[in-house]
Amino acid sequence: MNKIIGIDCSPKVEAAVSDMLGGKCDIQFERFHDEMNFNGYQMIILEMGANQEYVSQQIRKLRYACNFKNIPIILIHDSEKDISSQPYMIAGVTEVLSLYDPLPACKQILSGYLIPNREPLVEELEYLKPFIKNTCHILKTMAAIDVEFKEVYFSNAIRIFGDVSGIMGLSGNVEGTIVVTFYWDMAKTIVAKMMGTEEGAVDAELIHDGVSEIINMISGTTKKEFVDSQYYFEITLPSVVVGPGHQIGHLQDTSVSALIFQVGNQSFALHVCIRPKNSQVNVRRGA
Amino acid sequence: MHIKGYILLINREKKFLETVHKSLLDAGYSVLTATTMSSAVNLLSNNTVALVICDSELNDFSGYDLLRFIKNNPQLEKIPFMFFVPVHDQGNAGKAFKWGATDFIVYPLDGKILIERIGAILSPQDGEAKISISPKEDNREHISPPVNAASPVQKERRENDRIVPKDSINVEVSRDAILWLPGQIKNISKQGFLMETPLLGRPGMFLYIRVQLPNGKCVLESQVRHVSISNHQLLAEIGVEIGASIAWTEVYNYIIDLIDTGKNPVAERLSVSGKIPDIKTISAEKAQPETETIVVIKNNETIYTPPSQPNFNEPPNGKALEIRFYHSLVGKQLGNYKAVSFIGAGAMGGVFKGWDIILERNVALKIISYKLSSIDSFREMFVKEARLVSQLSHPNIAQIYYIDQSDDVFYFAMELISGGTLKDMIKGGSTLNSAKGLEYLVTICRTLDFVSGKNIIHRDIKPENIMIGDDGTLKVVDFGVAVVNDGKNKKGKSENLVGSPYYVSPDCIKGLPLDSRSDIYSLGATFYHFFAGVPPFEGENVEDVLLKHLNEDLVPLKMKNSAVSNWLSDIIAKMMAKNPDDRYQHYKDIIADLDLLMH
Repeated sequence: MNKIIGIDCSPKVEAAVSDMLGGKCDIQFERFHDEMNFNGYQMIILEMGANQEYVSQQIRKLRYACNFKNIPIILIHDSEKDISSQPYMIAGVTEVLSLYDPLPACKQILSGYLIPNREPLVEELEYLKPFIKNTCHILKTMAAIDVEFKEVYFSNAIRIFGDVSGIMGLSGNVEGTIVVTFYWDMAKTIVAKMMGTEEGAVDAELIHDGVSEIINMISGTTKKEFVDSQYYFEITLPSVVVGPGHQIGHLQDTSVSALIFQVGNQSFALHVCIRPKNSQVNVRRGA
Repeated sequence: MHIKGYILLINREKKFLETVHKSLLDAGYSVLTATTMSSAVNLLSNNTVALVICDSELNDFSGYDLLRFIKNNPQLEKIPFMFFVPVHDQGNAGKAFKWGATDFIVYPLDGKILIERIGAILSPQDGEAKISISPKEDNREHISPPVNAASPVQKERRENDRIVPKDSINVEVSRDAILWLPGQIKNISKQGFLMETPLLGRPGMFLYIRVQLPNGKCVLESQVRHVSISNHQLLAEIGVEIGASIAWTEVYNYIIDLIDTGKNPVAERLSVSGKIPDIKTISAEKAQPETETIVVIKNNETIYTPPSQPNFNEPPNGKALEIRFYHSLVGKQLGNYKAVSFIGAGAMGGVFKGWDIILERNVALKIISYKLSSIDSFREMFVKEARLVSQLSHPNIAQIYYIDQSDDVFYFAMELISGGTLKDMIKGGSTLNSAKGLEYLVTICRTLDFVSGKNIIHRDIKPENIMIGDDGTLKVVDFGVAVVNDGKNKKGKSENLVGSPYYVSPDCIKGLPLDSRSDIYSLGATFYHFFAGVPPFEGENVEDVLLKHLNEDLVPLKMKNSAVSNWLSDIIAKMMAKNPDDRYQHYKDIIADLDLLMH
């Protein structure tokens, strides 16, 4: 049975959520606090308070507490008015629903997010395994950090809720992007170890250089393993992006893998979106 | 910590001011803030200031101007002066020491180091009141700096005038001209501009800047001169220098003109990639006839969505909920099928590329709209469609493999076709090769002849429902509104208008009982569009087009494309006769005529 946690929900929202999901989910309701732990939960439902900034802060904290795990955060409000979801999506929410939205739609959307994630296809594993191996190896070699691969999930429009990302555009025989994303503290820790300096001395410039180097090395090392395969790619110049809720759009019709790695009790993510140019470009429906 | 007097913090960026202001307050200092030299001078004249910390460039004058002013004023000259300087500007900071500066600190700022440096300059004093002015511009009496202090530098500054736009001006920025990220110009001078962007560059790095001009996009090369990131939850600020060139002059003048006139044509959400996703939402009344109420999402390039610039026009709520529902299923598993990636959404449902885990093959998963799947009659319709198509075992009809419901999600698994549609070919302009076109027309006629032999009417023949696989095989798709013509339709019984306005038959518009001749009309209209490059009838709205189908004479295909033969033009005209009795009555007759034409 799916475990769901409802946070700061009024009796009205509690009743609506129970009505939509109660039969097949174990739903617990709690007040928001800073030390929330979401191990074992498949969904977080938060009721939108009146103060947008406070709600955004709540969402950011919830998203951080998810530690890159693919736990949908659903924000529910009780307003008939059309509320812009943008600030909340930026903060890290997965979906914003109104109690005035059609019940079947809300139910279907929530049910959709609760459907189990799929496992990678064989063809996906073919190119993911080298990335997993090399990410662990590079951080061990460059920063003397033990990295453990935890899980993979898929999307084709992933928003990255880290603080800083290194992005590598791919060219040559394939199209796609490789993106590594860290929370700021994790980035500082890794970059400090890479640069042989104290974390306190790591400034934005060092973060830039370090994160650039990490994505450069992961991409460059992995590229070599694809010689003579359909996934062989050329790398371009890495870009480093900062800012809350930044989103990297990937290729349409191509799965995007989010590989989650763990370092101690923190995590970081590597997104891999890769499509050989000679594979189908324009896939359409059948009947 | 208590000191004798305030720290006067001056920086042209309010966000930066807020951040530093807070950290100084946390460290126990009393702080005044300003963004311009004039307000700083005002504050200096009205308060006891123990330390000035100033940016090298302010909104009105440079920080060096302020330094000279202070050091030339006997009442202020003893106030220690600390500069914020970008890494590349440390040479000027050296000069500043000659003019009396006490210290400088390099961007990007490290809060701890700043507090340490301040501690080294200021001796803690007891007994001072703690007063803080919030980081807003001081609007009291404006005091201009003395002429003798400002004039020499002012003259130089005129070359460097920074102009601050009232409204945001959007540009795009890239390291490699592949991944484009958004930027917003904060101020601009003839040497370059300062922008806010999620791209964290570093001084010295080369960047491409893309600017939308009225006559197209202009790409400039620039070099990062200054990077400021005061808080990782905020975007970075990057100052770029752009070398003199005709292109830059054009861009500069254009932006200055925008600022002067208050217009901001680039504020209509610049794409941050080569292409913004093409998302159409068309209401029934205002529908472009070709497209009906379909939301198409295409995205062939890497897109970055900045927090302030969503890359979508949010569709009306109902359609938005539909799309959101489909997106909730990406990366999930429905029964024996993995939903690999979302392909697009139509009126009936969303389509995914899927993987059959049992048979280990690619499939197309058609997820039925939650709205429709919750209505019994529609569920029946989809089951009927599945049954209909399952009867149609033909190499040119996409096959249906399975239909099921999983976790309340109703879906079909179908043959996945890699390739494009006739519509894509029309768009690509490859419509005038009549030999290929004739071959396609014959193939589709044979396919629909097979369909009509099963007493099935497709009712939605149009270019997007004819696919051309990568191997060149044609496939008729989307039997979602097909019906069985079982002879039970009575004359005069009104039917709903089904189909797409550019291709719909007059009999269908009139609500008459339909037979295969309706599909013949639609096929004629489809290939008219294919050969002519334009649909047979166009109009301002759906109603216009439908009326033309009913009443307006068809312009002969030959007149639209002189390369086609009169014979082909006549065949298409006969397929599109207004009266079903004047059309070809059977596909075989069309094929016979086409065969004559081809041989």
